[in-house]
Amino acid sequence: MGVARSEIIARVNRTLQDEFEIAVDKIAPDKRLREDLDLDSLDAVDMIAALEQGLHIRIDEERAKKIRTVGDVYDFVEGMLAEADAAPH
Amino acid sequence: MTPAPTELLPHRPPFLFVDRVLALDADSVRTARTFRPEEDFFRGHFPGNPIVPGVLLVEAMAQAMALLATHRHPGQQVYLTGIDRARFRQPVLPGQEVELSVRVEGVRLGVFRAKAEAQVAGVRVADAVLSGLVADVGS
Repeated sequence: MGVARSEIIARVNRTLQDEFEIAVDKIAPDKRLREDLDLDSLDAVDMIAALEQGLHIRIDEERAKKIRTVGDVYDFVEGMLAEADAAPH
Repeated sequence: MTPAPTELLPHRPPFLFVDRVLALDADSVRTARTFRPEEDFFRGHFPGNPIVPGVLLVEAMAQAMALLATHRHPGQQVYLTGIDRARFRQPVLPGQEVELSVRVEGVRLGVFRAKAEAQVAGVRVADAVLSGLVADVGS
């Protein structure tokens, strides 16, 4: 069963708040992770680990490297979940 | 007027990692420590490529926390009980002054929990969440 995009957005936002203490009013799809939210490459590793754990998915690191904005994270997670869903169980 | 580090800390050279107390209140402290090129550990960490060991940045944070704890609880001392989420983001080089900021998050069952950050020239170089048990000296 698929996860609704609103649920994905909520989970990603919660991860950003809980893991990195980013204020909710700073989180928006067009915000850049590095420049706007001050997340560096170590934070990216932590974020991947948190999302993998929270969503029970395995994140493709090469594709994750292309993530630049919060909106990219939503799209990326949505894509990963859809693939996980489509894969044979 | 901020206190001299040794007024609040039991640490002494060569294991004192607070040169100066920049600011101190009930919930937070800012300290400074310059890692001097002649310090012994640079000879081995690493030969020809000296870098401040990350564990010493954590120690500098822990000493700042200890100073804050003793300021809050005069006559007592804090014993480091935990280091969580330590991250070393940039190398610190000989001669650089590191500014350590520690803020208390809470005290539960006598255990102090604090967020600590190290900066060089306004750039974050390391951060961690530290815990320490506040207890009587020698207990």
